Amino acid sequence: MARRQKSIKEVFSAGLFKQNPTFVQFLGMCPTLAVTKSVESALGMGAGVIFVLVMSNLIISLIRNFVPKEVRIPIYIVIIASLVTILEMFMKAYTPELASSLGTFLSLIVVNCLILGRAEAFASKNNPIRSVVDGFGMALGFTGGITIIAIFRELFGAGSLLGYSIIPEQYQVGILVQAAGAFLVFGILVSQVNRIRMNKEERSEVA
Amino acid sequence: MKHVRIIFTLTFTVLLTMVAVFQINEMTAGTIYGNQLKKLQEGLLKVAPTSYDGVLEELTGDYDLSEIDLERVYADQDKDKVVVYQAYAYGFNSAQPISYLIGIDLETNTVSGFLILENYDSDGYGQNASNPLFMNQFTGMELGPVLNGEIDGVAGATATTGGIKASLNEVIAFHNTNFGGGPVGPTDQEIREAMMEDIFPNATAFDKVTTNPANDAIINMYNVMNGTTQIGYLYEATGSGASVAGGLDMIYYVGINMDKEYTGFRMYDSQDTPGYKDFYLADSYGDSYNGVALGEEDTIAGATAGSATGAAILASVNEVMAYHVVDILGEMLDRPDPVENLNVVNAFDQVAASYVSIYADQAYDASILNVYELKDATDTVIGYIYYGKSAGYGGAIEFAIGIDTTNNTHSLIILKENESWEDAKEYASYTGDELFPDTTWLLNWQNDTVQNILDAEIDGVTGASTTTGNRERNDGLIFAIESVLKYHQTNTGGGE
Amino acid sequence: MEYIAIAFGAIFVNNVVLNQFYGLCPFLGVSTKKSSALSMGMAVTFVITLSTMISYLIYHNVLLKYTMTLNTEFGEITYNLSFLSTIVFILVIASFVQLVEMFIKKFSAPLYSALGVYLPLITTNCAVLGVAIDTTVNSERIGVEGFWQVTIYALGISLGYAVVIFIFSAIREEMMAYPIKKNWQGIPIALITAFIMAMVFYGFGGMV
Repeated sequence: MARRQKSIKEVFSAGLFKQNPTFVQFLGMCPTLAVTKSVESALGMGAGVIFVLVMSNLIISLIRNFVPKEVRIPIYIVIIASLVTILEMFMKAYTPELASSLGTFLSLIVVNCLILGRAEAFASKNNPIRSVVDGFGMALGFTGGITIIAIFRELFGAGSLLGYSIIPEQYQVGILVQAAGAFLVFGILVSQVNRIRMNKEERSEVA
Repeated sequence: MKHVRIIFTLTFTVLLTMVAVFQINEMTAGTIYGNQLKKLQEGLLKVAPTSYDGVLEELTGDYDLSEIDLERVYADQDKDKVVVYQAYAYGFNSAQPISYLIGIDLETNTVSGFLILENYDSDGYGQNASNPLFMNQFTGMELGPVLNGEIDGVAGATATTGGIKASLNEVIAFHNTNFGGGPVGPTDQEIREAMMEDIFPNATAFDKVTTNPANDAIINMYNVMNGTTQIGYLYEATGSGASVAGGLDMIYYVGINMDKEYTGFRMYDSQDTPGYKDFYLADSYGDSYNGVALGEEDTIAGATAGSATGAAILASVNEVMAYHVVDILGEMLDRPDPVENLNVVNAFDQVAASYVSIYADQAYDASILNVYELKDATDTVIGYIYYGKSAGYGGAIEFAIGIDTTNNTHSLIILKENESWEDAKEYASYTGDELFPDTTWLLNWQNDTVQNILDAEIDGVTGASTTTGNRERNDGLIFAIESVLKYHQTNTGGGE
Repeated sequence: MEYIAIAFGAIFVNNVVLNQFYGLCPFLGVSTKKSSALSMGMAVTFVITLSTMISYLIYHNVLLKYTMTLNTEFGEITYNLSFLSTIVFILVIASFVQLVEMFIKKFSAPLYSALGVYLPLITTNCAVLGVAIDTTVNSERIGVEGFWQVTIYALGISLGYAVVIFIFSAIREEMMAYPIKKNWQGIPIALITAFIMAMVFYGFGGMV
């Protein structure tokens, strides 16, 4: 039995909720933990991923019929790496502060499994429009995910949001902005997301 | 056919992406370079004096910067208004240096601004140094205090502040050497020479003794000349300060004339606690050495606040004095005798038939005033009594300790003291109710073998740290008594 | 001594996973069993060390050697090919991994059965690319210079990876035996474990 093709709307919302790359699929964990020290760098990383994922999905979907199966992965990697390099140059030129706060993780978008994963799983099998929508949805879901983590870490760890001080120093939990705190915040958030999902599943089973 | 297609597709993709990447690079390379330039230029303007609105020229190529952590040097065209240095400091994360700019206003010889450009230290710790409160404290500071490290640290960034202090020290030293002329104030050499002349106003020449004095405390020694006659000796010496266990060095000059009197003292550099050390940096303290005879150092008054620093200085001066008398003059140091203080004999549990001073035959030790050999009626040696001294909070402390032939200590008795241990009672760690010298702390040194006592590394008493002293700092009773015990091991007892 | 300091710092203080967040996907994915964690650790050590050495040589002998000039509003500026680093390094790593896979498949069947499945995963392990970039383009950030220091650093980093993933898998294996609330099972409890391990590794910071 052939599976029913998802509608464009479903393709878009899959990345946002059901298959959220951050909380459900656990793709691209390195930046998820590394750049969520502040909301600003999380949003910056998100913007970068949106650019690269939309573009790579578009290009790969356009050339999907010409690429020999045997060398498809190297070709995808070359394309993604070039896109990342281009992004890097743009960021260094027009948002230098952001580029230096993202550091090596900007280059590491290349090996963000989310990008190659979508290329292989979706863009290589779907038309350009659907691929772009999928890329946009997934990247937006990723951005949302890391921004939520960043909000918790910056607010409680550094007492600020987007640089504006909110919580006075004596009530801040300094460990949260340190490397270890990333694991803690992410772990707690995932467990809560899991709880909500499980409740939903139970309810649908009962119904 | 298939292989051809694979190779063609691969080559084609790589070529196409390369063309794209190169194109974008040409578009952005200029802007990226401009950004870096802008960041540095903005920084330069921020640290230059507000009154200066000219252009800064890079002078980096004019200097040899290979030995110091200086990256760039900028100055105005005439090199008489402002200098800006870009330098590196090694903070907690020593692998990733902190890059900063410091501007110096040449007209007022003060810091015109300080700015951290890059800081990779941890958030919540070393990163705090990038706090404007920390950076702004430099504005308007004179160079001397900066060189002396009188900079307020920030919470969490102790190591980072330390790194910045060390780096600033280098930068200011470089500054003093290279921009030291003109209105910039005295150079390091000039400061030192002024101190030497303060101590010997009549000197016409200071002849440096080229052979290194065989003494840890002494850095340099000068024969002080007036024409062709020698009028005294000048020592540049070092001692451990009091503020940090393990000691941060202080460097000072002290002069001795041909009549075995001090002619003066000047503290050149001290890393001790600001506030406490000020007393000792002042000329009035240095001048109080004038005319004091060698061996009478105890009469030089210290400050009430920071007396530990004073004790540390005296301990070091004593060492210089001993070197001067024994090694330079070839004389014996005063070894006060005998049993004029009858209480000395109480340090040994047994009453001996004879008490004979044997110190004249033995090496001199700054902590030891005299050594007595005790014999019984059959003329057999039964032990020794050491008559020692140390610098206390209220002046010199004199004590005696007996050690028998099996290297066991008997009693430690205090013969002279003027200590006040009222403060010590307030510290929880001091459990004894009694005030010095009736304190249980002294029991630590009694009735055990010399080796056991040395191995135990007995701690000082909180709140009475000047009296009890500190092993690393080489002062107080701990140092004096341990010196006696080690002396006993090598000279009188254990050496046999 | 210097080399020991670099290696110690790389293994414990700047631990690649717990402090720098490189290679987290396999860290969480392949760490449920001690045996597979050990194989992954070995494969990563091998690939990181060698691919870093290759990347370093290419960066210094090719990318930095060729320079071009460009006229801009700030005057003529000279630049080299280092902006191609990311593309070149990922290609080096991908082809190196491919070669290694082919090589051990042909010459050592037992090794292939132990490591084979993990090798393709390594291409997308960002620790490999991350270390290659950190030791070349960003080398002033980690404070190592020269081929041998870089090699020691890469070896230290990858050993740090192996050590941590092995300890982590041992903890997770033990944890299987305990009842854990359903929504905490799997990734969430693993992340909390990693949190505690990261705190423990902070202790090493004071030693350097």
